[in-house]
Amino acid sequence: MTASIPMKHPDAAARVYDDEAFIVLPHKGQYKILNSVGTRVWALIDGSRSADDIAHVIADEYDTTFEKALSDVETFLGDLESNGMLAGKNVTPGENGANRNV
Amino acid sequence: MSEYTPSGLSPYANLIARSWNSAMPMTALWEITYACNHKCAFCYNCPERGRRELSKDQIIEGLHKIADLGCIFLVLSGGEPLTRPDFFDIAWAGKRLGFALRVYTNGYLVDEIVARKMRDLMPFEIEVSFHGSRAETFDKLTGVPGSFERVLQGIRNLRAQGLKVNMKCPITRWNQSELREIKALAESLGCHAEFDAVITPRDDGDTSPLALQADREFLEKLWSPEYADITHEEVPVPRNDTIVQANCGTGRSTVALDPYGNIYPCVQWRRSAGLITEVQDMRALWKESPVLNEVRRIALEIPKTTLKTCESGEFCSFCPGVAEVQTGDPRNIYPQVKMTSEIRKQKHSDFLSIQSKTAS
Repeated sequence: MTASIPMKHPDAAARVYDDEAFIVLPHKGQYKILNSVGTRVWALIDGSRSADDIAHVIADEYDTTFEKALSDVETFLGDLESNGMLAGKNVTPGENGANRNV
Repeated sequence: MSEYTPSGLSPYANLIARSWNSAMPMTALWEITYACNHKCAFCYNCPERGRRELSKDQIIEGLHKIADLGCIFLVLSGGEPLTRPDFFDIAWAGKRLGFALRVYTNGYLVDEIVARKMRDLMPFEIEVSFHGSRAETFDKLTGVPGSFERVLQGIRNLRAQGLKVNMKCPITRWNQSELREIKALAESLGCHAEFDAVITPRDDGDTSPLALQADREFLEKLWSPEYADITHEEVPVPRNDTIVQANCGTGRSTVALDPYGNIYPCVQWRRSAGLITEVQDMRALWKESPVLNEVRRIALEIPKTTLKTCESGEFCSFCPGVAEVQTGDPRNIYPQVKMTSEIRKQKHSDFLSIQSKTAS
């Protein structure tokens, strides 16, 4: 996971309300809501940062070690992927700009 | 750190309650045209003869302003939105702005090509108005011969593309005896059926659509356990005005727009807060509009005033927009809500009484 660049699923629409990302997944017919830390990670998934890059930011902002942050970020990214919130290998990112303000 | 895994997601209900309580709109509903290829007897739309509807460019510019407001859902409605040849241009513009799309259509124009385009668009939800299990009933309600078969084919085309379709059925006295057959038909198509017993006056106050509302005898059955498979409730439950203080989400959870660009607090309460083509800062309008603030204030008062003085107020699904168009005052109880709340209260009492007898 650390070597790859996570990308949001192009059909996912997201908006932040009171520090919580509300994410709509039309291709799954589902909603997801992330808490404030999950929302921060979601915001950092921009198609250019790796899990390592994201973990560095989280470690800085949440007063934890890089190793712990990386472990948690990888677990979280795995959860996002299994919930259909990240783009698969064959999906072109940025098709619909569904990352407004997140 | 593990708290940010999806297993720790915040509850959706909590978000919705916050949206209502703090006037944080999550949905923009835009009637992008009043043109329609059906002539439903109960339709509430009132096009202004000769008035020009917004162009594609004006709507797309408006969508940018709405996106700034923070809505995540964009409902494209009508009229029949697919009668606009630029429907998909508008819808894609909305999608590119990050909205999750909902499309309210009558399904009449959904051939295989439109269904494929819809699949590419991937809306979160498509709601197709559906009026009967038999062509005779359906076509009578839409006023268009052959509409039943054509809409059914439209739904099949959407389903063939793997799209989620909700079949939305306004209950009328013409189709009230067919609800189970409609539900079975929906299930056979892999769709969910939703039923709504509320028929409203036209937006100009014409109450003629109300003649079509389901009759009292049927509504008494509808809100009994006999129809729990349709209503999803064994017994009518009273309102809970403690979590959400306002009567409804008007001016809070939703913003509505008509084909001319009027901005309304909801689809039912047609007090215009301005024109989207003239608004520079949608956030400022949402916060400061005297119209919207008045609507919010009234919606807060209703549970403490109107519903308290109504004998069956705790069972009222009260709409101040309907009250205003029908009685001239958004605080007035109107006949159909009085009838339905009385029935629901009675059915609730009947249920408690049976429960009490069973227990003893």
